Amino acid sequence: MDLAQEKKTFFNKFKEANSQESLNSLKIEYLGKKGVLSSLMSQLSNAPAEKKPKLGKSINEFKSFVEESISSSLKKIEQTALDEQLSSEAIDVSLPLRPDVGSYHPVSLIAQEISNYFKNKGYVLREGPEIESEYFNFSALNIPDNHPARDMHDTFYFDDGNLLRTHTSPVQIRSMELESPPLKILCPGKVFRCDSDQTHTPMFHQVEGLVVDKDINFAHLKNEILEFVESFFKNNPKVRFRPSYFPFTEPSVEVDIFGKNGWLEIMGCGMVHPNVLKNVGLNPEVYSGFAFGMGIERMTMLRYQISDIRMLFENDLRFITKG
Amino acid sequence: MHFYKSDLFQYISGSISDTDLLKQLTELGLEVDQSKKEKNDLLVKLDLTPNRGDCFSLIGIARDVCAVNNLKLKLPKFKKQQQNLDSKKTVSIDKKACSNYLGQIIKLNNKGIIPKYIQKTLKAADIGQVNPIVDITNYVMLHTGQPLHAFDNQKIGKKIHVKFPSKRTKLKLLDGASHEITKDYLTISDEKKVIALAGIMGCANSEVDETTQEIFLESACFEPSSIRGNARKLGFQSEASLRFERGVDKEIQEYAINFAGQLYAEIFGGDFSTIFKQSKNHKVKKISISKEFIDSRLGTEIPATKVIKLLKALEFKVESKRNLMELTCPSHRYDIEIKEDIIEEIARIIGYDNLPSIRLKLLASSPEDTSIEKEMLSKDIFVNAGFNEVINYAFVDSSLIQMLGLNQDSIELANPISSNQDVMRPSLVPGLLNNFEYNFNRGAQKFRIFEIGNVFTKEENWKSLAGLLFFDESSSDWSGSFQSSFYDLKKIIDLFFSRLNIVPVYNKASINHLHPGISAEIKMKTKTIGNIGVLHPAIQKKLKLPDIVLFEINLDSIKLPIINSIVQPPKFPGSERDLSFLVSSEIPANDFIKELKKAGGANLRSVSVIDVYQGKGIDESQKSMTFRLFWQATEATLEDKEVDQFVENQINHVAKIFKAKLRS
Repeated sequence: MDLAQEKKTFFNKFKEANSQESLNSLKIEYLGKKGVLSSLMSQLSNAPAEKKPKLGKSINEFKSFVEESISSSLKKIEQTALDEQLSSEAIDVSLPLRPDVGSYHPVSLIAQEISNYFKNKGYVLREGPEIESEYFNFSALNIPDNHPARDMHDTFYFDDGNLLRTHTSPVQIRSMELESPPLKILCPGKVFRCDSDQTHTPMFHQVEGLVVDKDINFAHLKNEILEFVESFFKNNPKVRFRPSYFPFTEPSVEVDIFGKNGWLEIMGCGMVHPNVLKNVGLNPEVYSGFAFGMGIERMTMLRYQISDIRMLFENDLRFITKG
Repeated sequence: MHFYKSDLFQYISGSISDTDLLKQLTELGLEVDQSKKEKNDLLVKLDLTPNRGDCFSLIGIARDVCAVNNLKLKLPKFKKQQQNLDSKKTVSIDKKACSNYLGQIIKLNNKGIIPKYIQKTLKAADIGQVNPIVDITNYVMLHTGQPLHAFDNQKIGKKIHVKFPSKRTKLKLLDGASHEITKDYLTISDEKKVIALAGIMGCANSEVDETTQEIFLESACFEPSSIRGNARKLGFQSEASLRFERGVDKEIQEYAINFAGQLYAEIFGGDFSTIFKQSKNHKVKKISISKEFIDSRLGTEIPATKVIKLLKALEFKVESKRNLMELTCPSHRYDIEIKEDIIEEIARIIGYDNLPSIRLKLLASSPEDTSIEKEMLSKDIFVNAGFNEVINYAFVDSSLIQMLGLNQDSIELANPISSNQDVMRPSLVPGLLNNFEYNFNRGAQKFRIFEIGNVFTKEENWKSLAGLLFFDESSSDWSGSFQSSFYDLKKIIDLFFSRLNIVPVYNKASINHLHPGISAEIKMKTKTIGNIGVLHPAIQKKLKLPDIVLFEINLDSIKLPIINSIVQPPKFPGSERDLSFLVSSEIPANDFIKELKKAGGANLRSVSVIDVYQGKGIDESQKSMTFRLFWQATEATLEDKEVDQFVENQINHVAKIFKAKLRS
């Protein structure tokens, strides 16, 4: 057995083998069951006993050398192939796309934000019909026929005497008629007034809160409003409570915040008028409550610094998708 | 109410800076709308709430300013003029409608010239000068809140009646307009004719002018209930009706007539008759309130002494009886009626900003409204599917409704804001088409818009969800983009329903505004809940619109929550087979799938359509549909033999039902 010659032969063959196939066949030729190395091993038995250990060791060393040489070469070739594949598959990641991004209407976004805020405070959302009767929209709310307060509402009427609700307050009455106190509700929705200019549209959205139970007082209302304002207007503006008049609350208050151009009205609120409680069968000596309401468009305009309310209903996609 | 600060301070003993005055007025509930420095004065414009009729007068405003500053109100006294004119008048009143009526005949001796200070007050209030006689009545009204009316005494009779007319009457008012009034209008009449609409405006037949030598000056208190709404019904509001509707002080008539008397004497040099008077006793309003009630409603601890002091400053008379305060309301506060009004007075004078705030600990107990939840969920789904939400007015143009062939039972508004917003929308489609047109004309090329809102017909109202899809192919970029075919929209609708755990069925249907061949009604079980399709070509042409796909779904017909149980998937491997059939092109795929399922056995898990082909190699009346069928059993692996049997059953079944042939 000439191990040195065998090694030399392997070297030469290995140098020639530079593809995956040739390396694999070299592997079989040397390391296979009938390969060079197993035949060398079988020849070992014919060697003189004193040379056996040394020769055996040399054969094993030769075997390890063959194994390592072939496998490292194979790895190199695989790596090169992978590198080639990766570079050939590369794309221009900078190519711009135009995703079809959906959007909520700005008014919806603000309505949801306000609703979620009050939901987290334990208010339950309530809806009511947009076509209402005189009773729910006016009389039950302590606004009698011909009362000057009706001038504050330019009402849309139908021939049958029904009307488009001018505020979300009728939902208060409907809720109080159906459920007994304690009551803690929030009513968002569309309202309608026959009016159109830079600050008015014939349809807009309001959200109204109502709490009725025993021992509800103005201090509770004040705290509820202050906390809301702090949450909604991130810059913690100064807040002013100013006496006002709503037929369905007594006392009635308007809430202003201090903005860039002075005081800005943001909502109306007050303690539920005893006549309103009586109209739904609640004893005003036992129960009391507060209500607050705001225009969602107004809050939307303040949030996004929009100056013309009508823009919100033109539905120009360049505008309403930017909320 | 517009006025100069100098006029107001005739009644206030003390001084307040301009800034403080403006701040205080607003904080008192007399909102300052505008203010302007003018020479040495300040012009103030108040936006008054309907309850504060008393503040349509300088004295009324001064009262509030005095109360909050602890200052004294200065009211000048006016003496009765010497009554040397011997003229006669009789007055009768309807006591339900008029609580106090004073009239005085004044003979005007000279030509009157209105002094500058009166001109200034009138100008501030935006009341133009009419003639010296009328200017004085207006001036006194601005100070006292009492509307006065001067009749030309030579044009009216000896008997004055305050009464409702017995029949419809035609009359011509001072502003020149003619009206026919009903029995609801309170009038001032003499023996023969109506000479004024009480509390609203005088009639032309008794008008004063440059030649008037003798006037009959009226200072009366008419009940708000007999005035309210009447001016508005005639289409205007006068300075008088504005005040009477809100309530005028029942005790100020004599003060006002003497105030005016002094001015007529000064300016015209007048001779005066006695004051002819009719009145009824009015009840003084009394309210009892306890300190505990005040504190319970305001969340405060205000000492009773402070409350009493404050109410006295507002001219309430206060008597303490055990725990109760017995209050007598001042006659000028028409609006004060109940305990809660007193609480508002206290809060107003203390200042709302000075009241405490307390966190509310109450939690609600009632369940959520699922309709709002459903609306929110629907919005989320469509926004996530790349749709832009729009919000349209609830009223639309009836001619558009008609052109679209939408529900004919739309509800008309009695007083629409414009003729193209005259009916309540019976569908969201007209609004979406308007949005499309608006944006398309401004160059938008991609549309996925949707809206959720109520729609209305004479029979019912419901919450609707509708959307519109359009994509201009020429605007496609290197990546391709969404398409706008019926199927693109249908895929999104399916996505929506799958989020709600609903499996809808699409049946070909004829819907007026949709293409009859490319539209479907959407059904949930047997109920039709919406429609989907391409806009009808005829409508498209009329509106000059391109191809668009639309849908509309009745959200109220979907009840939430729809909860399915979640089943563990079978552990055993399943078998898949692809089958192609030739069938008449008329047969809807859905019907075919239904029959395949019927014949496919209980373990058939899914049937999907992997190819539909019409064209070369197939008869024109036929189409080829390829289905992928998947079987899987829960207890064991299905054997090929079993599946073969199902397939054979299916082939035979569809051959019988649809004359379908298996393609090799």
